[in-house]
Amino acid sequence: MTDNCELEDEIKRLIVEVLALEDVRPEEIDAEDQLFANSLGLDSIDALEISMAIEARYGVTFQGDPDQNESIFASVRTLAAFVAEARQPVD
Amino acid sequence: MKWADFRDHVAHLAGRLEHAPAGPCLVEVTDPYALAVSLFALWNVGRCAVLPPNLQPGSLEHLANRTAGVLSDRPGSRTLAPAIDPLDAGSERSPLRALDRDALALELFSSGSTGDEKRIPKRLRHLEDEVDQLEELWGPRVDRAAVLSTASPHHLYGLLFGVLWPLVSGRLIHAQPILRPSEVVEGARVLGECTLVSVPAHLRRLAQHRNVAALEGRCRAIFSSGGPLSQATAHAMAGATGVTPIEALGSTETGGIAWRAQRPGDARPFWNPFPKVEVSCNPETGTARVRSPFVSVGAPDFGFTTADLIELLPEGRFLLHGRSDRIVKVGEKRLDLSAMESDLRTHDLVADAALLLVDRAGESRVAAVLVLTPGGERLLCAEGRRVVTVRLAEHLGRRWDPVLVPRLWRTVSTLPETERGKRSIASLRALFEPSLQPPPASLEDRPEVLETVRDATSVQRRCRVPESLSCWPGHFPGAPVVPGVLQIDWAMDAASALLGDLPRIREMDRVTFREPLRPGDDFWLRVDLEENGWIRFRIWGEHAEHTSGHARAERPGLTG
Repeated sequence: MTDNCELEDEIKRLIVEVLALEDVRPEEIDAEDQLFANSLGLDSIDALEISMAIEARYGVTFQGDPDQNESIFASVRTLAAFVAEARQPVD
Repeated sequence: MKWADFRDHVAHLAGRLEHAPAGPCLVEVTDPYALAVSLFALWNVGRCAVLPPNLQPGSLEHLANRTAGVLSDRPGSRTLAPAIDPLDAGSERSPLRALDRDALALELFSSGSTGDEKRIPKRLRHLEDEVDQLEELWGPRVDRAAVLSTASPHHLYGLLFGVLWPLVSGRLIHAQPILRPSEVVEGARVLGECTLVSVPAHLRRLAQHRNVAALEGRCRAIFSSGGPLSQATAHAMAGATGVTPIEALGSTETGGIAWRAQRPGDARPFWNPFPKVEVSCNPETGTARVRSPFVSVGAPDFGFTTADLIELLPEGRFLLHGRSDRIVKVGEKRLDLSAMESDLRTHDLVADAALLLVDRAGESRVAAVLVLTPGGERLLCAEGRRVVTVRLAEHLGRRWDPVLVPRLWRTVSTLPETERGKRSIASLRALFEPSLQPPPASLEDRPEVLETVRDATSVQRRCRVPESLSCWPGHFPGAPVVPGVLQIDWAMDAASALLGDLPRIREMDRVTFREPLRPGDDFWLRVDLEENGWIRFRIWGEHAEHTSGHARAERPGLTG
């Protein structure tokens, strides 16, 4: 489950960078924490911003199923698992 | 899903509602299709639907206590009353009746100028007349295309454009909410052709999406409302899709007011009132006065006066020039800054608060400047700023939509004021300058240093503000003062004498701008490196205390 460590760190950095979060360092984000219902306090605009950045960075696409997307965006861990599975294999 | 299925769902739900307690019903339903079923079923049994201003637990609880029942499609609804799922088929069906145009159909909420949520009632005719007008204006253009809507169906715009208009005119809608640009692109591909109903925050991202070109020739119309659409986004969308977005202007109180389409080269893109709407300018306030069949509050003959400042042009057209109150839009949500400031002041940690909008990552977000109570100060010193701000964000999150909760926070010892005793927006704004790092000041933007005294951990300089600074023409016309950012820059320049390097500021705290600093002023500037890595700075004159505060550098610079 946790062999996406590097990817998770990358996604944490991406989130802090893209959202210009203040007072939060990437390493302070717990990969298992709820992204949208905890102290990070992210909202629907942030969700859009993150999904755009992830699509652009990893060449993956989020499809229209809201239930599925909700579970993908649950935490950094679930996001990383989705990206690892969906992205084109690198060389 | 077919029309017959819709009628079936409505009849079943109405059957169940016949036996539920009478009175208005809270509709906490997020899927557009289930929402449509809920509304028509309630109307069929002569009940009024109450749409919550947001889905925050605090708001829902409050409304659930004031309504006779709750319809919800959200698992784990947090309201106390047992909720009915609108798509759960019951055994009974209610016959579908012709609806009464004058029946009270809907209650929506809008933040008023006093900050309280104002209840806005709508009769069925208010909604039906608006839908008729949309069909008259754009029906032929959108033809039979299905509607893809990213706008919240809980607000009047999303409900009218994204749900009721298509449904009443027999066009397809998407049963579930759509938000992401990729979902819009994919939806349009599957449908072949669509009408896009959206909001500026979503269109801005859609315009930047790598597959936006796939929309070319697939949109019959693009609608936007809930805030001004930037010219850049309007043009980018037009370029990508071949369709110029149509912006609708309106409010919960007045319903639709006007529309416009921004085309390249429009210097002053004006608004066209809807055919049944009359817009005049209230001479006392300079704001729009709206008379139309859609206005559901106030005296119908007199019209409803909004807080939108307008300039009338020939033929009823007009330009918008911002608002006369402190109501702002974030995302598509309306926020009264004064109301949220009052809410913040009720918190134990907060003595005073000022809110403003700042640009963060390309989006307008709410920013807060706080004066803490002694208890708040203690917590700040012991636990750091994040612990304080998380607590306040949680407090606000009970009542306010998440997109409205401040994303940037600063603490000061007093709120900066102008000489006339009003809040100084410029000084507040300066606290949020991107990383407080202005481009290196030009030579003439430095103070004249008359004297320097330093030891291992402090520098004190006696300086004079030069008679001319490059920033002065705009700051402010006729009354030049040294911008707060530049003062902080001067302080960091002094700190670099101690650190050997210009510190990159990571955060600022307890920054206070008291007396303004003017051309020709003599002043002292002192910088102290504190043991905890913070840089303390103070700027004062013979008769005045100008500025003080703390800054922390990106990398602690205390290396002996």
